[in-house]
Amino acid sequence: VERRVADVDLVRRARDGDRDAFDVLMTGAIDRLYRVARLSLHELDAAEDAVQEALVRCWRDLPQLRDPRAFESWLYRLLIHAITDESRRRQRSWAKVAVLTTDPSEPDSASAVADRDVLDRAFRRLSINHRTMVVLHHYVGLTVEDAATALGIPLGTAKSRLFYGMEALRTALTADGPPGAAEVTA
Amino acid sequence: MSARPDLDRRVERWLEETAPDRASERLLAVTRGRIDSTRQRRLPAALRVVPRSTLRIALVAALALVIGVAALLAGPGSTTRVSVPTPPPSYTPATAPNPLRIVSATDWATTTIAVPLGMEAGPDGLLYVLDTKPSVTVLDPATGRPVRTWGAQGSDPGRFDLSRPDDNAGMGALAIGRDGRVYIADGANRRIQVFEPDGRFLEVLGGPVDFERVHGIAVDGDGAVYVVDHDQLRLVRLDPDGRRAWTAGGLVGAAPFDVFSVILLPDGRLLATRNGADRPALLDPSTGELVGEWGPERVWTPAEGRSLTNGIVLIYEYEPLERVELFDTAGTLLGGFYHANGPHTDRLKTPVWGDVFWPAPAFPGDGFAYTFGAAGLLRLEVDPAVMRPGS
Repeated sequence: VERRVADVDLVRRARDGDRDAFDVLMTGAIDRLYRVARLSLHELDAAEDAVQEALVRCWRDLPQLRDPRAFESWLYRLLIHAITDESRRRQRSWAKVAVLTTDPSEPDSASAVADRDVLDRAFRRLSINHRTMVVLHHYVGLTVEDAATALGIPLGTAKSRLFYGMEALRTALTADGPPGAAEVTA
Repeated sequence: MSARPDLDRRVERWLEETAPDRASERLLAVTRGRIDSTRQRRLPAALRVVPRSTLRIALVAALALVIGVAALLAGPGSTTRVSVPTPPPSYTPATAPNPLRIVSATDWATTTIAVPLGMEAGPDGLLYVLDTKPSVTVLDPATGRPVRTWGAQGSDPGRFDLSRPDDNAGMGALAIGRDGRVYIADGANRRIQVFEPDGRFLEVLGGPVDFERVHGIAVDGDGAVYVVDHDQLRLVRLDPDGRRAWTAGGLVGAAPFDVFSVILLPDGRLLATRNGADRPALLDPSTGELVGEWGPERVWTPAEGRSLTNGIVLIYEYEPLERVELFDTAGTLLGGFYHANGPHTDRLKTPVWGDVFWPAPAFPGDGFAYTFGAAGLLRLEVDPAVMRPGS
């Protein structure tokens, strides 16, 4: 779970134009932003472009943020917008997207490897809207309500996207019959 | 053990394993460099108190206006059937002529409109506006003043609930049938209400069992109603008798897609714009089947629009590119009004509404198009050379 609460004083100072304060915020946030972008977009350069764009927009538009306590949620919204933009720009090349490689430090069980392959394929078939919703809820740890706020969508839409996104993954796991599938129904 | 928590656990484990450790130093350095060369955007003090929702609505409004203008100028009649373009038409916005020019405005107070959510011209030459009060207000385009109004907050027939949980102003839409009847997408009441042009309630179409939240609507010449269910991301056709004929899009099925809005083409076919970068889907109105795609290959953001009877199709988009573009039925770009990020900028620079029109321009038949902008109800002059290509 990567939920954090940004230092309100830092946000205020950055909002008032303090570049050093913003650098502290940015340095503290860039890794988790990058993880979310990479999970959602798969492609390294697309993820980096999205993070870069989100942070530039954050700095540029920070003076318009009224409530510093909303910084985290707002930053995620900027990131999701940037991810969506990147996805649109690169949509035609989705077919060429390479499977995101992992480098596990220790051997996985056959079950875990199968899960990973199936989930990776199924996840890449989801629309960008559903991917980001799953990542925000199941990786970042946002509640559905907070994710809806971050995405700027109605709660019903957020619930719907999460439900159907997870249903697609469940269906994929069931259809592919990975080892361990039996325990899903146990 | 239940299936769902187990699925959650497996997905969360996979996400944890798949996520990279950290961003590269190079990314941090490059981002720092870009930020160092970016100035913060500071609003004037007066603007900081304007609700964000108002600013957003204003942005949306700009795009809508341009689109509506084109639709109104279309003449009745021509219904040329056009096949799906293959390959897609070319797209060169930099050379597209600007079809619209603001000539006058009626201030907001005179119109009595709060935040408009939809506007259409009726066959009586009046402008029908759905706004967030919530109510339908009928405006005389010659004066910008209300002729009549109806509706209030509530769930009884004749009342509306256009509220929505996010920070947008409201959810609802308005369409006018060929017979002048007024169709209201009653957002949070999850239904369509039908009225006579004088405001008399006629009937309800659909209900909570059919829709989760409605925000888009179109009515064809036979009285069939096409409804966009916002939360289900799908399009539903209700026959003139109110029965559901088919459902398209949504997130399940063999070929799921996210419907954002519906546009009836002059030849009777349906366009469903979609969330994401896909070109609009072309649907068979009798079956809802996906029969192709429409328009040039470009970045398509959530788009709305309308078609004119002379074959012109207006498309407006508001995030991130504020643009209103005119296409022929085959999807070839004829003209464009670009508020930002394009060659035609700085059309409107005023607080609250900014560079935007909203909703889609309506064409009541007096030779002008109308929408709302910073100054209130805007009257737009339309370039006839763009609106009537080849004439």
